[in-house]
Amino acid sequence: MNVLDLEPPPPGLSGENAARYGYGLYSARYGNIYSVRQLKQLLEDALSEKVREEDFWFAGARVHDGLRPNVDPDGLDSVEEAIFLRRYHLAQVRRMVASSDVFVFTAGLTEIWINRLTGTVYPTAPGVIASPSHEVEIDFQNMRFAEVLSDLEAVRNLLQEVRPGIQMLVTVSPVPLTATASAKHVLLANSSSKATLRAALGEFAERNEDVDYVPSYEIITNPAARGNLFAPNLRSVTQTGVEVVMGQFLLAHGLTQSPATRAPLVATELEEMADGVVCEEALLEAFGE
Amino acid sequence: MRILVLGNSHVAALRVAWRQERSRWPRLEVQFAAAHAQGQADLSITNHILAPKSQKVRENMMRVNGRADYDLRDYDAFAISGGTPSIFHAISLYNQARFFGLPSLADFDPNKSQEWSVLSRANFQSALVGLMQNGSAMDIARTLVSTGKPCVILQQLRVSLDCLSQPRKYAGFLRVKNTGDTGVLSQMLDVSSTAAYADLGNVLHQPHITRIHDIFTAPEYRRGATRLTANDSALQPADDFIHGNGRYGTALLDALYSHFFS
Repeated sequence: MNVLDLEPPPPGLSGENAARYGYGLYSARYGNIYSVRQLKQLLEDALSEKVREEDFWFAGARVHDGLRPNVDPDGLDSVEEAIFLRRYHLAQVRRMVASSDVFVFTAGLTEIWINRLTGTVYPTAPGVIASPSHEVEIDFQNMRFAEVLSDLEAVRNLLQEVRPGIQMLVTVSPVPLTATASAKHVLLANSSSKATLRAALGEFAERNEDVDYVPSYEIITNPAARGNLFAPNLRSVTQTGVEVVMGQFLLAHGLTQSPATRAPLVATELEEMADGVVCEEALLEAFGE
Repeated sequence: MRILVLGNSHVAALRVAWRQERSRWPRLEVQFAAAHAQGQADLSITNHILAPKSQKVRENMMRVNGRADYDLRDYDAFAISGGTPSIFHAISLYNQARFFGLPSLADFDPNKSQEWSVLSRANFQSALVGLMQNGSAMDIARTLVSTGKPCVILQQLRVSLDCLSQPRKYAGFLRVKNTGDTGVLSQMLDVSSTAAYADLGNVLHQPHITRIHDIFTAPEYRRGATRLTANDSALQPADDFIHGNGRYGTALLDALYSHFFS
């Protein structure tokens, strides 16, 4: 197995700063992609090379890419710079898909922030990191089963368009919601969201021979684990938990664990998400306080 | 004002200038504590005395300075010349990454593959600062700052324009010159140098009068540069393009003088 990284960090960037700038987390610097809708949008933008000026938000004089606000944490100098970097990033996403044999996606949320006029989806609520210009109105929406399933099929089609024969591995994130913008208690919002995602991903995998469902959610949350695969904060997955999931995955696919396996990085990623280093959801919770 | 200048082989330029023209700076009294290579990182303070920890560095400093122990109470300020932010940091990063704002990216096509990645200006600066903070000057600066006295970091001089006589060895510099990115890259070098040491002291950028084409040192400030020895009289090899001469040392001391007295 070879995990692609189309946007590696430049030399000199410390480990801490590399994580701050969105390096070393995924195969390109798209930041957290929480929903299938967000993934579909990324692929559509990458294939069409579409950049929308209303997607760039502001924090004082600094400009942030509203579609990946954590990637340049201190913001950019201008909208011009933001557009330039987005075009570059989308080209790397196209290259990433074109070079891939297997596309792995972890679905985290059904809750999305959507531009009322254009339907563009954002990973964070306005005002948490930056805010859109006053002409843009952003609504909260909670995606339903049929929408998630439809988006999954669209993602598969988009991937096949770039890389015919590409296979998909899909999984539901076992990390529970820490905040919800719905009117529900977060416990209810979490179970509803995870159930919707699990059902949609399961149906998607059943329908398509080139899609496989990885049961990381089941392994981490199953009662037999007694919660021991969660860290004391009951949100992060432990290193052991990651190794168990990866071990089962490799066994199921007839692969061997090697030192190059990305498990430690995934564990770091999950821990960092729970620590709030890169997780917009955690920022939303803090913002709400 | 009594200043102790520390550093590596780059101290020779300052020392030559001081020996030849000390009356030019009447309010300065300058002494030198140089060590070859990374020796300055070996220095530590015990009971106000700055001294090397290893015998090897001690012997080197005795040869080069005639002494290896310095009572820091004898000085009002410090200057570091060696292991400091350098154009080499910027060029090495430029070889692997470019940032928005460089003239060469004006017609950039992201669909064409290239050997380098594209970053935001802030990201490039953060990475460049990280590279600069790995220099040996950072260790000695942290040591000196603990005295509470001002510490000035002298940006390493840019490579001499004469280096282009060896285009293969200095291909990175030729590349920058040909792309037209020299001005913006030089600005990035200066801004990042200041940021790298922001918590420790002031950074004096290379005096503009000694620069040419932004990222080079004018040859008249390099030719005839001497090696760091007891009397700094042995010439650097002809293919050394990174050390300044006494004239450069004069420009640096002028800048240091202006920093403290203007």
